[in-house]
Amino acid sequence: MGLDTTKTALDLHCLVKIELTGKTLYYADRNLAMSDGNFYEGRAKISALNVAFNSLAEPKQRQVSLKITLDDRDGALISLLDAYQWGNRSVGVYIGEGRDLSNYTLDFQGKIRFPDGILFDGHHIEVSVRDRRTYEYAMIPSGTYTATLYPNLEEKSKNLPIPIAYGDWTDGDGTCPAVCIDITINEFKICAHAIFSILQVYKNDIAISHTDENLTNAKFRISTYDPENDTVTVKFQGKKDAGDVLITHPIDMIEDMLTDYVGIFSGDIDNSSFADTKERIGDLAARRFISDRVSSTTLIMEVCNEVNLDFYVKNGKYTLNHREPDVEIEDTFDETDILRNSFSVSVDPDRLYANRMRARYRYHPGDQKYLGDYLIEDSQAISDALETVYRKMDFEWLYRDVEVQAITSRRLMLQKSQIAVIQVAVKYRGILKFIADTVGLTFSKYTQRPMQIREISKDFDRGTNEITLWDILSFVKMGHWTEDDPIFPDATMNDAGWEGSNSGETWDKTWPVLMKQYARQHWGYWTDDDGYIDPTDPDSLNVSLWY
Amino acid sequence: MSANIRLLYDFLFDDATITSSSEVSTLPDGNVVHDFVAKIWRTTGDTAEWVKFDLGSAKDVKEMAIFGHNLTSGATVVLEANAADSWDSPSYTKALTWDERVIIEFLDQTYRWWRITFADASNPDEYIEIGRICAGVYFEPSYNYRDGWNRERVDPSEKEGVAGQQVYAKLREKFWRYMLHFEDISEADQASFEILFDTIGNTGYLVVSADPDDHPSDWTVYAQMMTSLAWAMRLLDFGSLDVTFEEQF
Repeated sequence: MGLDTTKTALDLHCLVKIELTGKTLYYADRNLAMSDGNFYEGRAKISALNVAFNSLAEPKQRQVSLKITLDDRDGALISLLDAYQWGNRSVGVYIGEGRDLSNYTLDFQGKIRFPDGILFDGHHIEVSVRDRRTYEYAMIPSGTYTATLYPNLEEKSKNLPIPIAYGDWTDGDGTCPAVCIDITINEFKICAHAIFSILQVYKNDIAISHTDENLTNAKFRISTYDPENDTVTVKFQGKKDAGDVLITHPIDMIEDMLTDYVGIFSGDIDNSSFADTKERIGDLAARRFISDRVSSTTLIMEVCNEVNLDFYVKNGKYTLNHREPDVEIEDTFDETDILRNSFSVSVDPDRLYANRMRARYRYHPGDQKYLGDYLIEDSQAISDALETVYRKMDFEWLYRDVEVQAITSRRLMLQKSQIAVIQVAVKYRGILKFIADTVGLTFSKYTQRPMQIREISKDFDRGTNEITLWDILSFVKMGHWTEDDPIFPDATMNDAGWEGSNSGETWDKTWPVLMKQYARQHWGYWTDDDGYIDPTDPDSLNVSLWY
Repeated sequence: MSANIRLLYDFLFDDATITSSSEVSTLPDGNVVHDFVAKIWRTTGDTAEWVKFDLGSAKDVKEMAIFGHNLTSGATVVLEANAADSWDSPSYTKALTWDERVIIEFLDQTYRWWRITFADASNPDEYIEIGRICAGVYFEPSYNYRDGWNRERVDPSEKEGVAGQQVYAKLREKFWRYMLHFEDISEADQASFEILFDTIGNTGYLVVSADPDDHPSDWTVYAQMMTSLAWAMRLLDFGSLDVTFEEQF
């Protein structure tokens, strides 16, 4: 059934489940015998849960930590501290109403911080809980070229990491180094895993033939090799998925890193969010030759930043969301929800403004340099700002000209728009909201304006939620684009309430602002090279120029 | 109103050996004597359930009260007592009157074995939950509290307004607060009050029956004493006392 957050009065409670080895502890803010047959002792007080994304330029979820204070004035719990190991044990926090567990939602899942996760005095035990992302990571690559593993390994490669190679390294001019693991037979290894194919081997940048190709172990041999003076590189296609298909899509690479290197079970990944996001961003190719040890978290964040993804944990599962969200509104906050004096708007508080951007991309592991370079600026924005504000982006994964240049252009459009950031505090209707959710805002100058939640701080004790929203319409996804002059279905416009003289099939610049907004959200349009749609409307200037 | 206020705080069943017809393992029958009403005993059925108390020896019981139950008005609840653990024809049997808040019985019976049976076939939960069972000998002062006492219903729900004037509330269970004034309390009753206070202080629990004859259920609460025992002494060592009790769940 779930929690009914439309009520104005709720018997709201917070449940805490701590799973020690061999013993599960149940606590709540009040004494509650729940429908699952467990008694949740009313000892728990939970600090506000803050979940947030970092800034636009760093889209990862900020580390979530939570403090649970357990009342132990009767001394009943302190003996449990000695009797059981608490560090790294799982904690679930549920929010809901009444005594029926079906009315509760898992709002946070983490582990007790270790070390330094427990603090106690004579009255309370304070348990610090951390988000699973802070402890679920791996240093990639994990393997090392050693003489033990490869007795005839070339000297210069001893103790180097055995690389991980994603993507198609036959596409374009990039090559990757190979290591001679047996100088007696000139056998080389490219990376730590099976690969899809080897196209061409080079010795000192000259194409040569190879023999004894072994794709399962990413090995090959060449006829002659001088470890002191020769360098061998290769064009190849990297890691395969379980179906023996080359992994090329950045979303698949994130999933592969999570499952294959971090060790996340597929059940702990929100597969539908991965599939939906992949479908929405469409065909996109990435590649990376990982030869230095890097945290999987860093690598995944690189991908997210380049592809405009939000990566976070929701309901205990790893979740992906494309930053250009649907403008469909499931829920709207208005004056009946927003607490007094809690509404404020700031413009570009992270100071991300830019009117010129430079992208470096297509990193060449062999030469250790970027082969692609793209500069774009908005002269009108520079003129308006009376200064040039420059930002740069390094693409470590995306490498194709068209994709990198489009994303750089879109980022410029985004960052020159000075995004509006709205802060509000709402009651129960915000309690089940989460970062990346899209909500409508009808307050002050906004009417049914789609906003994306970027930060939420839930005070379980008061049932109050402080939310930071991005005005996503100001910079992303202005509609479903058409490649021709926009045509808007008459009947559907009428259904949406735009009836009478204002309804029509073609764009009319005299339409009311809200009607234009509606049409743009639901059908969109594609501007010409001059930045305008036809018929020309100043409101359309440059809003889809780079989409 | 003929009987005076009755205060039950020495709970005989708390020290008894307890058995029952059935229990959910995580909500066992022992919970019926746990201080928290919310820590319940839950059966697995609802047609022929019982909980039994072995006091070890025959003991006088003058009051028995059940708090925090999920019984419906169609339930049959019977209090039984016997000298032996045999229930075909117990020496004492009394069908209890159902009340949504508290099922209470004043009696005067001395037995070792006590049993309460429950039959509630129409219970929508399909099981029976019992929060707290209190039984023992109450303290009834010779002089009742004075007229003009306060019987206050409190709603501790938390409210917060929004810009458009609507108010959101976090619901909390309403409770009773009794504010009583006693006058001309004799030295003997003062001593009894002091034993009560030494036993429970401001942290233990008692059953307060403000009008046992006319309002046995609706004026009975499972409560804590919220005030200290502050006697205002008068001539001939009579004492006056202001006491506040608050219902607890």
